Amino acid sequence: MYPLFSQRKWGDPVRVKASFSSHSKRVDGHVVPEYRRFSLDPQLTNFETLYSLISRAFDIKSDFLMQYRFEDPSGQEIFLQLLSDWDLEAAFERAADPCLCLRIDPIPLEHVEEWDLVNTPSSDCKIIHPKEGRSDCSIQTKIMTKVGKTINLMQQALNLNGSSGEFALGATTSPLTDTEFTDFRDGVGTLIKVDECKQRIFQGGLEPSLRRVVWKHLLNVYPDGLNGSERMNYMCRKSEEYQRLKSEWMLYYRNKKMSEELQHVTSMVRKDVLRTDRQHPFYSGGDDNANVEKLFNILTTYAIMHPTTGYCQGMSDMASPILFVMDNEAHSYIAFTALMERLKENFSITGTTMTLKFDHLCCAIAYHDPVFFAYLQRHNAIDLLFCYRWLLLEMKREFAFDEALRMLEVTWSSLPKSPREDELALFERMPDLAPTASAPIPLPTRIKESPYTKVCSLRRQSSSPASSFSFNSSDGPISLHSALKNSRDSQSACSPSWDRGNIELDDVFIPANDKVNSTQFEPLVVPHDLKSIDYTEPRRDLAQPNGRTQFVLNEANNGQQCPLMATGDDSVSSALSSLMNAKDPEEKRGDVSNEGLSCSLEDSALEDFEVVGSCEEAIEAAAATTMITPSNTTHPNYVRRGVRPSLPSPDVLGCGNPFLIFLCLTVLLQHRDSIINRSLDSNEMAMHFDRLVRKHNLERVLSQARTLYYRYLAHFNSQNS
Amino acid sequence: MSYAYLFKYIIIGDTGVGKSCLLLQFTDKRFQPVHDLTIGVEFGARMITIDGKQIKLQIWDTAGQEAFRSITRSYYRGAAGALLVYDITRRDTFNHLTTWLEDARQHSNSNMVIMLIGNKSDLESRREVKKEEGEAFAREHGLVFMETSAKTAANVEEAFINTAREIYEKIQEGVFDINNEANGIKLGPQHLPSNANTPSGGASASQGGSCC
Repeated sequence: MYPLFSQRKWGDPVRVKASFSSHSKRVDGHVVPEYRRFSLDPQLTNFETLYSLISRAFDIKSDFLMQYRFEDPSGQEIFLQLLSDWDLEAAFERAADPCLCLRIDPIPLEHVEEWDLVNTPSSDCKIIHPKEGRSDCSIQTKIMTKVGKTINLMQQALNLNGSSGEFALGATTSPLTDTEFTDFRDGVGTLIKVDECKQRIFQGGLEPSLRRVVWKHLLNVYPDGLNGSERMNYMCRKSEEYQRLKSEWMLYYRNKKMSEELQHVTSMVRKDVLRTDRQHPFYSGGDDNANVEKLFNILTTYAIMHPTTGYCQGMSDMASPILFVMDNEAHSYIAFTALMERLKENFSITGTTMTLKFDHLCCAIAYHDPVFFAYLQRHNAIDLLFCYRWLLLEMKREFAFDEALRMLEVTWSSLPKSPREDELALFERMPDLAPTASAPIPLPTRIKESPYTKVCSLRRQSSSPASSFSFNSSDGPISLHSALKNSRDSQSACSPSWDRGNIELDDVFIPANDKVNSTQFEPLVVPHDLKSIDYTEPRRDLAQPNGRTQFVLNEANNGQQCPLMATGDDSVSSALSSLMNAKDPEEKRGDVSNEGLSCSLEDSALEDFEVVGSCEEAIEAAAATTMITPSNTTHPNYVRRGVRPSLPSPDVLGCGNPFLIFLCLTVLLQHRDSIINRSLDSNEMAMHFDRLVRKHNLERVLSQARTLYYRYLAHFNSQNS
Repeated sequence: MSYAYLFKYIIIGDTGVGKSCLLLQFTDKRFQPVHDLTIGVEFGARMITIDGKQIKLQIWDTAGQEAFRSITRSYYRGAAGALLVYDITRRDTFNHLTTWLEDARQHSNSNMVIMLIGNKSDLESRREVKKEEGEAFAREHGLVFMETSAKTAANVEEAFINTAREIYEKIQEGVFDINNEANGIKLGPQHLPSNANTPSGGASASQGGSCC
């Protein structure tokens, strides 16, 4: 087909010549664009890598468009757009001989509205004007019924009420500076404009020199309302308390007369601090690095003084950036203890919180990208276990150390306010540290489950038929929340008895078909007895515009909202979601026209709301990857009805850190093309992301995650008002 | 790159015995003394050749902490081979072998090939477990034994390849049911007549391409 297939051998490096139009120089009266030449390993380079390489090579601060030169069979030279891994693969194959010629054009600024976030250029990315955004909200408000939930304080913190249009969505501003920070405080140093301050940090992060001070605020170390000198006294006092706590166990440790518990903890912590962020200069060098020793002291003290939580792998990753920033052992301990108030549940042996977080991420994928969701289902990857580290460490390890600091402060600034009434408690209870009578410790010392294996088994039970775990096991129905149903009989949980009148998910998602069993749909199944899960029903007005049956459960109302509620007004969330899809060039390149969408929004009946674009793409993707015949997938309702699950409310989502879910989602969305195009299975996906540890592009991730998050908040905000 | 078989391995053993380093040495041929501690499970893959057959090894590397007896049933079930690793400089890691082995035997399919690995053989001066002890343990429990060094790469290739060889022999003897993927063995595209040649399009062409 392409006679010019390169002579290059498979796997050889590819030479690249890139020209950047706006850096043109005049040479002898001619305009000559600026060039860069370099080589790439086509097997290691994906679209994202190339994009960031180019942006660095030319020092491009804005968005840009990449095109590659290609000679068509008639010898005509044309430039084709490079928008995805798929394009890049084609470029390597077709046009890399003798070298791959790239043309880089900046996206003209006049096309980029303040509102518009363009991570990767795309010809069809849509711009939503603030005005339209507001009118959408009013329509939603009309249709939406109140859920009667307390909406995350974050929204007020972000001042989203009615002013969402003023946000420059997602895009990062400059970091908060010393002088700016002064404006948020009164004359005696009391932080008075907390919300504005957090909002500012959420957008831009902090100047590194300011971190030592501001992180303590973000981590909620101080009781509410302290002024500058009170804070300093507080830290002094707490530091002394830390020294006392540390000396409690240090004495036994130095004398090598340890209780079984202390010996166990110190040996585990020792092993782990020796392999935590050691590539960073702060922790590098010999094993006697003083900072490694401090990290050891902090973690051991924490574990000993919090026997219920103890020490778990992963804690060292969370303590390490804090110690780097504070550069003071006692202060770090205090800040780490404050952080662990929120994070200790991640390490809980029951795995409940982690399992919920997995569920929420699942929901977010289903909501934002049903195509990819269906792909994950088909490839037995919907357990998302490859995201375990992301959720456990709140993405800390996915970015280079210095970028992780920015990511952490941005995330922390988004957390709901929880003003501290009393002082932070530095210990749970004083342990008995005297060595046990029997001197030699019996082995094996512990028979205990690890949190990971617990979560793993919960997720696995939920996302694959009980008995089989294999490469392409016969695809059983997959339950989104089933992680928490392990007590139930898997047969009944998987039975397709879910009332279609209530939740029509089986009309929405591409079923988990495999090649053998391609004749029937395997619907996404939601456990029947949601009561047994911690979700409660959304109380809904029975008079829904489209007259669809209500999703009403009874009892067990603990203020949470079912992430999977899919009643009539989900058409609206679909609308929002489609808008997002249409706007996100990486996620969608379908022909969802702006007009079409706003029409749908104004259609008060909302009967046949269109998310056709994405569903068609779903079918295409399904057909391409699993060879399902079209007759199997063009279920009439399938395409027509755009019902999607809705996301849990901000007070529920992410179990206290809703933004985390959007960070994870963003990373997934930024790689979904590459995953789908290469049809990676779950293990290969895990390897793909393992290779990207510390290599994700923070700015790209943060700006997209912020955009998604703002829209999500605006959605709930309008629902609430 | 296409392959005749894919074998799934797991690496188990106490925390800090060098599981991730063994994997990295095998897949990337390098040693990273300050490897990040493993959170959850990490994966690696490499293609090897046995008797002219391309075999893809897909290796799951687990976090070792507190995981005695707790690695889930399903985790073991999908594996054809296991490397059970201890650290020759830490006796406790050797003493825990029985627990690990019981766990593996209980949950895996009975044909899973288990290789016992005494790692860190380069640290002779700090040795706490004699080679003979490792050999005796392996003999007693019917395991293949080897001392390795992820640092110097001594015996690392052999450990992974010998395990594969043994699995391959079991396949040829008809012991493994290769059609049941729960055994940790998958037939590669070389075996499937439909797409033996002409990889067409990006999706199928990259099937085996993700190995390192």
